[in-house]
Amino acid sequence: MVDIVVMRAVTSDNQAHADKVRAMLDEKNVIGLNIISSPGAGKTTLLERTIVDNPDLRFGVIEGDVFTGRDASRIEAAGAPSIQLNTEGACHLTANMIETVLPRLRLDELDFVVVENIGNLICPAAFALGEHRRVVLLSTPEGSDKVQKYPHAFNTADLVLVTKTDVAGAVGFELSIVLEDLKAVNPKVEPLLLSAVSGEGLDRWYGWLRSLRR
Amino acid sequence: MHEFSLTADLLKVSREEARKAGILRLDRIFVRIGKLSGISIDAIEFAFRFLREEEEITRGAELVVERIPGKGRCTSCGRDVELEHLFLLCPDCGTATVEITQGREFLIVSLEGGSEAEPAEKAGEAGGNHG
Repeated sequence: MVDIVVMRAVTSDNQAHADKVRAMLDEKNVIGLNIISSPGAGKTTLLERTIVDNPDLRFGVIEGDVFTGRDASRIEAAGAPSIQLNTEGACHLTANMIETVLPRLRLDELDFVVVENIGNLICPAAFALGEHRRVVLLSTPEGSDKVQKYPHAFNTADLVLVTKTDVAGAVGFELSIVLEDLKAVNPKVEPLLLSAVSGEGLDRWYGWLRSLRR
Repeated sequence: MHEFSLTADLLKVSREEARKAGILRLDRIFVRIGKLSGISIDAIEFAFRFLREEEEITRGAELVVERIPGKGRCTSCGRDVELEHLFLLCPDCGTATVEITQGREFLIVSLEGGSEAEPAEKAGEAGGNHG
């Protein structure tokens, strides 16, 4: 019988890949963002608008989806290079997936690599991708109680964006509940409110992005 | 269900560490899973029964889970608090300044196994060490 003490985190294997991704980005002075939300919260729409409104910021996008290349096509049409990752069933991206496809983006020509994770507020939260910042979106039609229902995603966020503020009134969204829950789940984060349709609040989001640029 | 990939990683790391130590047959894998880790222990155990079959070294392995409660300390009033969820409000002073001190972990603590592919006492005792 052999008995050995290990004391190693299960995530250490994913973390090793995440560290490699981070090193590849750092070497080229590129900022990595990991965007997490439920399906339909407006990740791709926000990215499209962000790319169009900020021609001086050079974005490369890795699109995670279970199926289809729709989102990568939308990003390309907005004017940024993109890579589509299809997980064919898997509910989140892992760092080794990013490590594999990252060399296909020309990092020399980019300021940001944005990873749009699989639409899911649970699983992606558990996997670091080597990002510098994690951005979690909550759209107003999803309801005001999602921070409390999915605390892990919001707890690990560096920035929370409340999207689709243009329809907030129509769907009965109550911001005070989100603010209260966020204070308990992730007190360090102050959410930004915006709409990629009306343009409300986008300046602060762009300002945040610019503050990261090296 | 991210527990499937976490279990795959758990087995990968365990096999790696076992081989480094000259273990050819893993009998027991001891892990700690924290209350605040966002991990379903049932789902991990379910995935483990499938994924251990992928390689000979883990085929007879049993997973032993130690459940770690969530704990934190309020940085405002200094009180130690039990945490059932990722809600960092101090029940004493009401401020959201509780820092988590334990409960987020998913840790491989230790491994038990043998340097032969088959357990020596296997004959006549099939299933005996699986409780």
